Amino acid sequence: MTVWIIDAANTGGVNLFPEDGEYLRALRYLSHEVPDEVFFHLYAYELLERMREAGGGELVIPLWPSSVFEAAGSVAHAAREIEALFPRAEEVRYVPRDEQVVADAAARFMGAVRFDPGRYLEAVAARKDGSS
Amino acid sequence: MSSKKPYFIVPPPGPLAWLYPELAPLAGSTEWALPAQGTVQVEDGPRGHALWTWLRQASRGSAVEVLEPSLFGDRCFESRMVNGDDRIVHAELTERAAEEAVKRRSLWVLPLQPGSRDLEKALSTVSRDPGLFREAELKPFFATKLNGGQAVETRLLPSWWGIVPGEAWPEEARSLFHELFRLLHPDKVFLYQAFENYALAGIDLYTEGLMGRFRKSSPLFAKKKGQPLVIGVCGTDGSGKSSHVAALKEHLISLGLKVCVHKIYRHGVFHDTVTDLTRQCAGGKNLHLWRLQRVIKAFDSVKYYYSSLEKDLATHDVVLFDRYTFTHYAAGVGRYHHDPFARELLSVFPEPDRIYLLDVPTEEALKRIGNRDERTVDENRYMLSRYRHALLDLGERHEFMVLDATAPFEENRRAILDDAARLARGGAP
Repeated sequence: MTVWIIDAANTGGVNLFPEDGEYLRALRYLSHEVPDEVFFHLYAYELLERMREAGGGELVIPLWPSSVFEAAGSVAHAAREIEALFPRAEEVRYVPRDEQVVADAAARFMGAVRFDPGRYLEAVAARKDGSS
Repeated sequence: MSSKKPYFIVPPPGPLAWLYPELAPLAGSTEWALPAQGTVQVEDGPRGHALWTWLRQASRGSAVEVLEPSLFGDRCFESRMVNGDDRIVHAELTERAAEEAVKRRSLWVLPLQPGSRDLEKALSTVSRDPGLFREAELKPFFATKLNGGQAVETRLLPSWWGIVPGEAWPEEARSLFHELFRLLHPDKVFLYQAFENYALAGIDLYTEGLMGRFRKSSPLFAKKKGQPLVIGVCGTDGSGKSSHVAALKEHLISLGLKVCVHKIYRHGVFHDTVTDLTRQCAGGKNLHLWRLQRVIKAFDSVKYYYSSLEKDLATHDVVLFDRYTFTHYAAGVGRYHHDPFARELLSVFPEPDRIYLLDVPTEEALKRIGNRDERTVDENRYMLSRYRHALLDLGERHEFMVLDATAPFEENRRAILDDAARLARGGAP
């Protein structure tokens, strides 16, 4: 059974982004000349690859990709095709967090706070309510 | 927020100016610079939004606040294009209006809206006397919002809005527009096609221009810090790279050197996943994923660097690569002649001491590949030929040792082993 746990604190299930893993190490190297949108896509793709690799279980998704794009005001591509490849989940759990936790997650998993955490929380809430 | 009046920035007209340079003055000043502190307001509209996106990133960590513009504010360039001002004419599309436009030398814009028959009508009218409408300098413009109406859904990046039809336009409409464009701007047909390809591929030339990427380039490689001998073997599929890498490894080990081999193009879950992503482009849809898969592949090599390569660079005498970063560059050039951010991503890799390029004519490569079970999307005559030429071009600029891969294996093996052994003894490349 696959469960998605959408939690900016990245707790409560399988950690798809280990601190000593190659993604976070490579992320620290990336130039700040690379646009934010590229960081968003790389994060979304990494999430997809690690979810596939995990196969199933309680998978923690620190930041929901399309909500990140929405919070950044970037709507043209927004990781839709990447999300479409996510392994299906039988259950989705949303863990409420405040803006600071989201900002910390952005800094950790995308190298900097590249979007508005408040808007991200609104986008995730809309997703949870089924309005986006 | 600062109480001072915000700095106001008008975005440069970008693609519109590239295609229609005479439109540039309409966008006002193209000079802008960020203040050290304070609030910055950017003109509304799609290009204003693109500029805001970049300024927000550029000002991160500074005392500057960049206010978010609206995509469709009244003040935006697109609104003026669609709704007009005293310099823009929106007369009905007739020969008489064209004659008037020629006399007045005014800017004549033809707004086009998805779901309408605007294009069919325009093509029918213009084809009666293309020379007249050409002289009148009629400018087709893909409206993203007309006269306060509903914004058009498009997956184009904002900087391309107006200049090319977005995904809201069906394929037939695109063909009609190509024909209309050919009548109006026969001298710019190829330029337009290039822009349209970039736009559909999700490549944001406008923002790259704002970033100054066309004035400066990132370093291609990291500086070597007493690292081992770094040798790469490159070539298109079917050129015999793996066999030569194996032979070279064996030879260098026989010389008493500590040698390892790396493949920075990984298989397994990475390859399967990125291939599934790219498959969504089938039928000419979602072409931005081609650009995305280039970025993902380059970043995967960076991930590989940290997980598998970094340690070996510090502990081996020779590190051999079955393909090097040049293969990424050749793939980018082969597809688009432009591979955004590949250099920034790949510059973690050390400068190689030698690259052997096994050059094989495309037909011969296809024959060799034909023996394999399954071909990749790139293993066809067209793409292999493009990769081959891109690699040869890189070889010329970066002084590869180019070897004819159709020559007997032993001949090339000897040339590579002799050269590598000389390098290992400290000889200059």
